[in-house]
Amino acid sequence: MDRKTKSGAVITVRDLSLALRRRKRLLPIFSDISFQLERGKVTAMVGESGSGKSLLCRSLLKLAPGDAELEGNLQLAAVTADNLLRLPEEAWQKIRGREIGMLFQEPASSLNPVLRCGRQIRDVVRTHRRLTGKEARSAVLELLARVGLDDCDRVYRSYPHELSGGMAQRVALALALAGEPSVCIADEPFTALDAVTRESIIRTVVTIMKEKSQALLIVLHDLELARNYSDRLLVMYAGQIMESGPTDLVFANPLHPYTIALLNIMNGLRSGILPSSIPGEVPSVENLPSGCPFHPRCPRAESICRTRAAPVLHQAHRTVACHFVT
Amino acid sequence: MQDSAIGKPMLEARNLSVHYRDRGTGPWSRSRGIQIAVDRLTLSISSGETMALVGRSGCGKTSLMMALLRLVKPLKGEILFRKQNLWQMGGEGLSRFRHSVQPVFQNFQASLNPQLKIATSIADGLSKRLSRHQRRERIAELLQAVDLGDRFGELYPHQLSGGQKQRVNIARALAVQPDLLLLDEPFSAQDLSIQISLMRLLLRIRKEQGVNYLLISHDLGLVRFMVDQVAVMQAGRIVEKGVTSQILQNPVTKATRELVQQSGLS
Repeated sequence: MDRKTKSGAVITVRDLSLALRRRKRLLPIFSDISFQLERGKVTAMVGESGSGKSLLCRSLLKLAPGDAELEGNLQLAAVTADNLLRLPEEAWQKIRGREIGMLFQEPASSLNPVLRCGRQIRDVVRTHRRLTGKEARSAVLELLARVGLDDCDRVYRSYPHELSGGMAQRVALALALAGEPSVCIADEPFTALDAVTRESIIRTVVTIMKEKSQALLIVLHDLELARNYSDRLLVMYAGQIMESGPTDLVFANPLHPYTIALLNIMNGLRSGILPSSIPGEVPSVENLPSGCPFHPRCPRAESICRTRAAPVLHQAHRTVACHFVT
Repeated sequence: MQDSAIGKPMLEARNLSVHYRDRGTGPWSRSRGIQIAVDRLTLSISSGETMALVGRSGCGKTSLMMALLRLVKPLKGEILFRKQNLWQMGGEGLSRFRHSVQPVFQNFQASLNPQLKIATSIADGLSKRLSRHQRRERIAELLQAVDLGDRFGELYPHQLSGGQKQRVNIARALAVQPDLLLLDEPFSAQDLSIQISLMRLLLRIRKEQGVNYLLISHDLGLVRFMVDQVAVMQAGRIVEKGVTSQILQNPVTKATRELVQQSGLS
């Protein structure tokens, strides 16, 4: 199948749920997550720590912990299968890296400390593409240059510990892109970096993804970055998507009280007044509140929010899960 | 560089240099040279003053803090605590310094002993002369000061969220009634909402208990709400220092301009 001519959704997620088994109990990490990632589009996932963002990213690669129960439907445009989650592990080994690239928070965890950087990327290039040794080497050098590294020859020969955090994350990015995947999943890849480096790397990632019309799902802590670099926004809280939609629309007119609270903080900081924080904290999976999980912290909560989960409302290109948005 | 004198200088670094030996690439390789983390730096924090030390990663902020805490020995220069050289102090003087200046580190996970209950961790800093009852009361008071209820004393660190752990670290630092907190990126591993609530907490502690702080951060946009003075660090040196509003409005050096820009303030 020619992957370049196809347009639209690259990956479709439907009713994805994950529960972890703890002492004979099933703890729901996230439930009924549905979204699509489109070619050439950047989707940012935001939300506080403990919302299940990282496990969702891992689940899209079927890398959830062994004792977890993963259900739902996952489809990839480039792979003809009704549900990727039912595929055996051998098939997944061909999907990871080749169809879905991944970039994690800690570059150290993506790179092998005892192999030189160039060798690691070359291995991936040669696993997924039929290239001779020489061709593979020049492909790697080209990749390193594309992710914004200057002294590519030196980086090629370096071990991961010889690089700074920013450089190591760029190498990890080159590694993620080495298989020319149609989708890349990045789980907070910039938290360990300072603001200047962060901005320059995200610009590189987005440019490359758009050039190659690949789809990108990126977990971000920084709403400002999400506003500047993403096309779609997914707002997650306690394992549910609270709101989703085109980034500019969500920022211009947030509908869910949680999104509104997050944006209030961001806007307060920009305007130079120390804003109020959202009262309380994200609930732990052991003590998920009944009804809408946000109700203990929500300024609009009423009795219905405590007893019934909010229905998901679909409006042109947007979804929102709140009793009071109709 | 002259400080605007709000009070007497409390903690001063004079011509301070901190170097690390670069060990090369493996345990067997010989030392290859010296890495300069802090380079002939002069800085003074007066009592009654709060200051932020901002700069990009790797500019030497944490090394400076470790030296100011007398945890890393500087190669050159001196550190003065209330006009006395920190490295010539011993016994009582040093004990006074340790009571007066308390650190809160970025890694809130590693700062708490996982085997101790929160109450025990906090009690470590309390005077041994207190009775059992007084001790319990003081722990409750400290937990309350950081907006945690009594019940948290009976929990273990793994039962707390990141924000709660950092609150416990602040409570523990307050246990010895310090004058100055040295905070190394205390918010950076937290969500924005938690960061804001921790910032509000520190502002309140300053107002109610008169505890000032030196705040190390890479995020000028956040710390500007918290401090009177900002010092910008680059490559081991202070390149710009002044009143917060002035630094934000008229950044002179490129390093400061970059930080202001990155914080979305320009």
